Amino acid sequence: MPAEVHAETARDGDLLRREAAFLDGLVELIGCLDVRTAMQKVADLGHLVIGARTCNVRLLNQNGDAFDLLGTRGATSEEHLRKWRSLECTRSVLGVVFQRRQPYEAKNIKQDPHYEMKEFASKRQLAALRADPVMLNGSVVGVITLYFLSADELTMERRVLANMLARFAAGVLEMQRRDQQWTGSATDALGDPELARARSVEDAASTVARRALAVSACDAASLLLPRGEIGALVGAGGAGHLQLLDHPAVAGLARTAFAMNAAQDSPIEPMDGLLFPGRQANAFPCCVGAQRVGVLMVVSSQEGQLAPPAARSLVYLAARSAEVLLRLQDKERRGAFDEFLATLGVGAQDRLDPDNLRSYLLDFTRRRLGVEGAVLYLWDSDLGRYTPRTARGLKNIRRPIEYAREGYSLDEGFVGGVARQGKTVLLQEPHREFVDADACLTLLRQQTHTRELTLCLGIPIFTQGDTQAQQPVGIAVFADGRPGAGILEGIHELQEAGLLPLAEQVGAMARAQEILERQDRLFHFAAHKAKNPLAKITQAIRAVGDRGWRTADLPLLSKWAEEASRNVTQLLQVWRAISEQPVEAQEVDMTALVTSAIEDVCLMAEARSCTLTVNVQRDCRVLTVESHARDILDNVLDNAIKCSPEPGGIVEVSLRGYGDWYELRVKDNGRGLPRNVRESIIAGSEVQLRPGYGFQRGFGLGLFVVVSYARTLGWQIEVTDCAPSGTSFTFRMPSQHNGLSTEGR
Amino acid sequence: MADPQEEKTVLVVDDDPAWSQFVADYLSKAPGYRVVTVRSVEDALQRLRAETIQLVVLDVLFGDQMDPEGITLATTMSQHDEWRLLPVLFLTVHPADEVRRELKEKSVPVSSEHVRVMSKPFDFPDFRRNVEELLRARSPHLCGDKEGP
Repeated sequence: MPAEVHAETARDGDLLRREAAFLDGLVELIGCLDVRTAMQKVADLGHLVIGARTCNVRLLNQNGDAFDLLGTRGATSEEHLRKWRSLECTRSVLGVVFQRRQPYEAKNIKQDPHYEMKEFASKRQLAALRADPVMLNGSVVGVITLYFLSADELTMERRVLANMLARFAAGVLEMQRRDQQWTGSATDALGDPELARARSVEDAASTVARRALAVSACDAASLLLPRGEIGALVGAGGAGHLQLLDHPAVAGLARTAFAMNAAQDSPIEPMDGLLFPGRQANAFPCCVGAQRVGVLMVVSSQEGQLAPPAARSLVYLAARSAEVLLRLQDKERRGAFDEFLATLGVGAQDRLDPDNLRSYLLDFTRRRLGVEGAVLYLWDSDLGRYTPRTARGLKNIRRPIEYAREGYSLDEGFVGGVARQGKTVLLQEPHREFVDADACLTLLRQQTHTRELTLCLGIPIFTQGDTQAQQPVGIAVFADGRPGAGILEGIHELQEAGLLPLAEQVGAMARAQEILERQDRLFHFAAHKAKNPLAKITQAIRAVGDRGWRTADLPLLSKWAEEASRNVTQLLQVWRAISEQPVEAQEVDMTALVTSAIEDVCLMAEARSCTLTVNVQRDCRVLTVESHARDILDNVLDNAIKCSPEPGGIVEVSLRGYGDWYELRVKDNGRGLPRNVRESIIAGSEVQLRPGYGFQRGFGLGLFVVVSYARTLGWQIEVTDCAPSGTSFTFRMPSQHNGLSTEGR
Repeated sequence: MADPQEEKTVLVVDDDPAWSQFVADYLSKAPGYRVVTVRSVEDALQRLRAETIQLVVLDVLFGDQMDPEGITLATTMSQHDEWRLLPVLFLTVHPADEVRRELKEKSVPVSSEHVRVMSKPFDFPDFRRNVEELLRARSPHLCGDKEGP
């Protein structure tokens, strides 16, 4: 046995012995629950396990009363005893936080919590190991925090201690339960009429989000409850507005959830209060009993991190709400699963027909996630029993055609991948490091012939079973990318691998061919559009040679030169829109941007005798990509003016704020867009607007740029036919983070 | 001044009125031509119905439309008894052979007598020669000449 393995084993054995000693002590502790003894025991255990000379256990009851149980060995003062008794914490217990004095600066969260611990510890960056609200009968009865006062680094031993102390808390809770000192149903115990009245997860989540916003003064809060399906609940801007699974933070939440799921073989594995300074967000675990049931993530738009009191309050609020939400979620999920089974017409134990499963999941994504035009791929992962380790190391994912041939069993687990053809609706924050992401994405790339695919979200898929012991059996992966990107290389790879016949069999080659043909059409069109004004300029110059110079020639040359310049600009914009260049979002003064764009088109409008009516609200600030926003404005204004009658054109531009949203509207009185074009924009079927996916009749480069960028920026687009003449483009843009992609576009 | 009875009416169809006027100016320099300009296929069809046209000069692409509307107009004309032999001269940046191939795919009879394609930029003498040859080759009785043979 290699020396290091031997050393590791020895250390593990040592830890186990210490843990056993701790548990023995715990039993003793539960048996007496004498405060003095308890404090002494805590101090002894702290010393025993981690060698800490001092540690501090803070007890918080649900009224927020705090009591620091100083666990300095052998030093328990009468004052401490008096405080302890005055706390009246017979119904109150305990959560544990290991805390260092230095601020915690997690910059690169990994999936493996063990790894995270070591990584953070090695960098001396850890502030908090654990912050567990503890619940009794579904209601929070207190929070344990435990601080290390020594300056020692966090070690694996301390992690184990955190785990053990959590078990200690569970034991105390169990003891209290047996003593029947706490009665009442979970809902009653919550003492929260508003939550008790909630009729759905969304209702309850709105309440939670609203409270979170009130407590933290942040701009968005998300609650994630990954037992069962992930419910990602987003409250934005204090208005109680809620969107399910439609926020960039959800990707981070999902990742955190997976880190949590990865530790489900040890349900009370320590879980950090994670801080994400870069994203200005915090993630906190929520527990029911001693079992973690969710993670609360709070995303703040404010500079800096959330203040600890606010963060603790949020944990408290979220934990109070967790049970209600989980109950509702379970109910909803059971309904969905029943529906699923009814759709398939089989029992949970039966082997499922892959086609049925596929159509169900497609329908599911459409109904629950609002994803239209999704392409879903499922892979049998051969996971006899899902464990985080095997899931992370998925090596034997099969191609759909193989699993279709061999049948499919839900019980065996699966990995489902959803690739959306076009822009992301779900999320726009790629997380390449997500659990299983690489394996899933590799297959998605193969199946969609899209090499430049970006992972957006992984959602665990669960089988029916004991809701208390739900284990995910697979992951639905939602990804975003330009279908066909890198398609030639993909075909080449298939050819090299001798897989072309297989690709033809599943219709992949026909799809690839179609994509290539449509790409050809786009570039063909773009090239001719760019060439046309240049040819006219040449023609005009030849005419001068033929008949001599006329004054009237100058405006012609000028007009066509401008047209050529505009076309080249649009081509560059198209290139940017379809390329994967990273862009950075910044706060942009939309008022100034709109004003500037209008000033630039004034001359053109005047030349065409077009009246510009402008109504722009002051100080509209939007987190966006300025260059993209400007391109949108330029194109939509240009289009409006040129589509208006000459003379007699009227273009109205307005920019107004509506709570968290700003609305930009550009209306003309021109000939209008064809109905099919309007409908395709409104329906969000941008699949058809993407290069390679069928440039629609009536869609020029300018409109392509407008639609592509607007979707990238997370702006909603509405195109209205203003009978008897004209069209209006309405863009609704979030003032803050919502829906903005700043990477991978 | 040309005898109005002998005057040939040329319909120029292009979404860019400046270009249409540019072509019209050139054609109008020579006697015997009357040039009518329109900006869309719909307007062109209206004009064809309303008056006697001896030659249609048109582009392939119109504005931001990706569909080749000029080809569509030629196809419509070829399916119409009155207009099927009306001469058409394409002025386009598209390669001539591509346009011809597209026309053939749409079952438009492509012959030098009735349909010709010139790529922009073109030589003015060639343009004039093509216009004159097309006008000479037209068969009035088959082209909806409302004045009779």
